Amino acid sequence: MNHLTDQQISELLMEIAPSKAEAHARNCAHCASRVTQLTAPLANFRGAVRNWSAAQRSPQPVFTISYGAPKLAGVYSLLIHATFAATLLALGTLKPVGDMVQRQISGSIVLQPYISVHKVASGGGGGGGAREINQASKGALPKLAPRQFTPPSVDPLTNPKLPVPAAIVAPDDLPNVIANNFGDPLSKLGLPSNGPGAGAGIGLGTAGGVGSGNGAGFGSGESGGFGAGAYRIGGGVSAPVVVFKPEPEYSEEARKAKWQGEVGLQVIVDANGVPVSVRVTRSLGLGLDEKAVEAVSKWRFKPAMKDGKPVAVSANVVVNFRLL
Amino acid sequence: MEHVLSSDRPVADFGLEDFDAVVELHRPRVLRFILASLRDRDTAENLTQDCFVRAFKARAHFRGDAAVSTWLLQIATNLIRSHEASQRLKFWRRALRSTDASGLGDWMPDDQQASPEANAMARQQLEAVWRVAANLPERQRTVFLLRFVEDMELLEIASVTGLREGTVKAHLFRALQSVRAGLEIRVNGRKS
Repeated sequence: MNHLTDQQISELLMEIAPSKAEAHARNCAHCASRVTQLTAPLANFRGAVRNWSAAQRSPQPVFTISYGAPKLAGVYSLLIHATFAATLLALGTLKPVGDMVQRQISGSIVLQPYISVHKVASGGGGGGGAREINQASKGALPKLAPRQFTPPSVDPLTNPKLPVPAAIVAPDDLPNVIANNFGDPLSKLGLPSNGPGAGAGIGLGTAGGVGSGNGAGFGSGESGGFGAGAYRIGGGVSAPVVVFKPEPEYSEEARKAKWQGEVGLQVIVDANGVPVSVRVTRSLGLGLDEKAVEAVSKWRFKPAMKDGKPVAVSANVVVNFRLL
Repeated sequence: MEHVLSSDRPVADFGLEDFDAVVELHRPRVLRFILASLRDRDTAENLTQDCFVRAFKARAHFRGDAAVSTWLLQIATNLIRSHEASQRLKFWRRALRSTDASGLGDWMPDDQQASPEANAMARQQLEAVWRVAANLPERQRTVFLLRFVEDMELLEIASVTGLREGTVKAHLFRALQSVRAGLEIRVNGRKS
């Protein structure tokens, strides 16, 4: 018999070939190889497509979750959440839990204004008056404020057009008395008087404060605060920082005498960082004091801060004179 | 989907009541067929899903003339045809398809005993078949895949494609002729 035709081989592959052709393909090596030439790639093709599609299959869920009816699920969810919230509430109201929480949160919450840990009294002061004949009378200090708009007065206006409560600029650890009228708490009782000072306020001073000083504070000092002098460093007042510091010159006499030592100075640094009043507290002599004052007067400071605002402050400076 | 699943239309007893089981059983095959036809995983997944949705909606009309797998593949064939028709004007699709024809070689079943040379040759042949199958006309390809990947009888193929048996045979002949030609080009090309 002749070898199989292509068509017969195709029939074989389709499994519709007559039995005669099948028998020939089994017996004839040539035809068998021709069939294999076609069947082997097709078998590979089948296997490859199957492998490929098996690998491409998207991951199937391993298990399915049955959620039940949506309404019921909502009810269950609500119940679970309510139970949870109720448990939390019940736990919170239990006494042992409350005690434990209180132990954890120890210490009371302080709602007072912040005062620096440095308990050095800050300086400053103020004073005023209304050029009255009598001394300032005793009374309460007005409330404290970072800035003074209205100076205190023994007999305040009854119907001011723009009512602003009287205030002084001072820290809150002042000596005070309880009284209905404003006045100087350190003064004697007497006829109500604003005192012989000037520039509103109460007392002997010259600006809107209370006392004999010059400023909006209380006491004999200057420019706010309490006490004598300008603010002092500490008690909520930060120190001024030197930013420009020319060195003092040696005086001719001191150089000749080989004179060395330190000059102590007290400086009031104003709110702009400029030294306004330089005073010698420890003298050295031979013209070195003058040189020190001259140099320190040229210094410039980053001003001291109180409550975030620059204030005038009194500071001590030591100038060292050493011959090299 | 849930409202569809909960409908209680009467279903004839062809093993279609538990549709989950049907999907589980036949999904790999349907996916494989569509994937081999279109060579696009995402499209194949979509069409497979569509196929089962259609089957589910029409399960009341399934008369049980053929096996469930045949019925599903019939739906799949129609889906592929309509998909191709909608994509026919998309030139780029065809341009892209010809480029990924070499992807199948990695999936060749491993033959441990064969020599590396024989494996390489088998791989080349496989890719040749793959390329030929990609370029077959749609009907020939469908028939070819059903016969040589899904191992279906000619009569089954006829009922899947809706062609007569003789027509199926003719398409298969032509497809095999193309495959043979493709393989010979591969062999001759290697020799020269």
